Amino acid sequence: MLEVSHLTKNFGGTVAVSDLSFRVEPQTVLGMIGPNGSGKTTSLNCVNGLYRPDAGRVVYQGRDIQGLAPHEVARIGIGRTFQVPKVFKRLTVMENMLAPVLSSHQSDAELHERANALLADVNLADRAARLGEELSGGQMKLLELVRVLMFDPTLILLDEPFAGVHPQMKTVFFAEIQRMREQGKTFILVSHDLTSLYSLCDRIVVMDLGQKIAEGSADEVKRNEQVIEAYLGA
Amino acid sequence: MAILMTQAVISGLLLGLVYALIGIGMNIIYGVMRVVNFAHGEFMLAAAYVCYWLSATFGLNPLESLVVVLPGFFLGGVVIYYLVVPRLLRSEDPEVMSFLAFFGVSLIITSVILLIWDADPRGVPFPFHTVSVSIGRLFFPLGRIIAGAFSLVAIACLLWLLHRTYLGKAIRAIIQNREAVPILGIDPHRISAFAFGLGLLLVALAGSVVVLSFPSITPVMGGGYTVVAFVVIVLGGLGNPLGALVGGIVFGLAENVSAVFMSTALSPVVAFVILIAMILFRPQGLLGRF
Repeated sequence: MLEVSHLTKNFGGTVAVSDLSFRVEPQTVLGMIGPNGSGKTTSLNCVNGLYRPDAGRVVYQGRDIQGLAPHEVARIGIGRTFQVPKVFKRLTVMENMLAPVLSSHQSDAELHERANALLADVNLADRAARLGEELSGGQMKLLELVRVLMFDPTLILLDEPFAGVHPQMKTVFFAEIQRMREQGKTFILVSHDLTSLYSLCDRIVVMDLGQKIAEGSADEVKRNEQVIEAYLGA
Repeated sequence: MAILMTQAVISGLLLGLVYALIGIGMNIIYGVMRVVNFAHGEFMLAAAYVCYWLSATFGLNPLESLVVVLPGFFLGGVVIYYLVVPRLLRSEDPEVMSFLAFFGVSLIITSVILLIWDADPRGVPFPFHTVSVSIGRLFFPLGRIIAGAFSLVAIACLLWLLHRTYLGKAIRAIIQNREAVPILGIDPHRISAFAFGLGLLLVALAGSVVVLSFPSITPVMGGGYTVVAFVVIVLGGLGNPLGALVGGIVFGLAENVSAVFMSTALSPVVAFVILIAMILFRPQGLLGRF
């Protein structure tokens, strides 16, 4: 579904991502872990068009998507959430949900019904008329997740979805990701929450200082010496 | 005194609506793009001169001229957006860069006006300039009433557009969080180009109705209107279209009501004292962010 090859991104003299390659198979969850500054978010930004890579290719469903603007990447089916959720704080929760489908040809009733169903999945249905700024940080993250689903992406990039989220809400997140995966969605999940990551992901890419230092199943990366060294400094 | 005050308040409201119209276009452009259009007053003056030219050449009055002026400025705005703004947005400090770039644009517009129409004051004839409406012992120039009414209708239409249409909702979304818009599949440049065109359409409308209130125009008046627009949007709330309405009315009332108690030469001082107080004590403006 997604193939990233030899991706490199520099900021001035600093190498943020160097020669990164990985593949994501359909209906799977690929985890990305690594210490702060290891290039995880930069990699996501290169995939969804926020950054233009200095080298390498990003191929999505057989198409080279390098050079596409972020809105074009979204339109071909790649959704994205952020560590700090980008919710429209002065729009209502329902208006937030409808923002990705403003130009949709579907009827208002159909769109509202879909939005309400998605909000109900994450226990936000009763907040539909509230302003975005009235939600807690965790609720904003959930809103951002289901808002992405309104334009029905195939691949969803999740950046630190569990950071700063109440454990109870984390359970909701967890269930929602698993449910969406069963419905055919594919994920790249960047997180520091190793426990969640190990149980959700089919494969995990481990990064350090902009480079991939390991890739494999949860069990494989847990045993990898380079990973242990990067995390524990041992 | 009561009659004088009533006269001042109503005149201030009418003038405030025109001021709001002057500021609202600048606020849309700033809100959507964080671009400081320092040529705002010059664009407005350019519209007023086009009205003058249409009047002198084809005998159209300023209201009839709107049929040509509004679509012309909207399309001009879209073209200027694509020529100038995306480059500014890619710079490290778009606000300062846009301020400088549009300062240059303001000089160009003033020079072109001087070149075509020279420095003499020009008047745009309008059949109602000399007509006043009396309500009891109160008198209001009909031109100002029409200007205020046009401003009110334009602002109402703008608010309808912002809250009821696809493009309007996208403009509200981009004002609140520009980074969030493209990741939802919305093309920010398309929305921004429309917003820039809309901003120039509104300023062209302001230029057309201002000649109803203040018929005489000269090429160097633009800077004064840019300052009016800045005051209005800072008072109401930077980037908040509704704030421009509130800011315009406060500014218009401050100017007119203060003139009852002191020399008219000092009335702008009152408005600017309010502005400075606002910057010091409520920098987000009366209505805050959008």
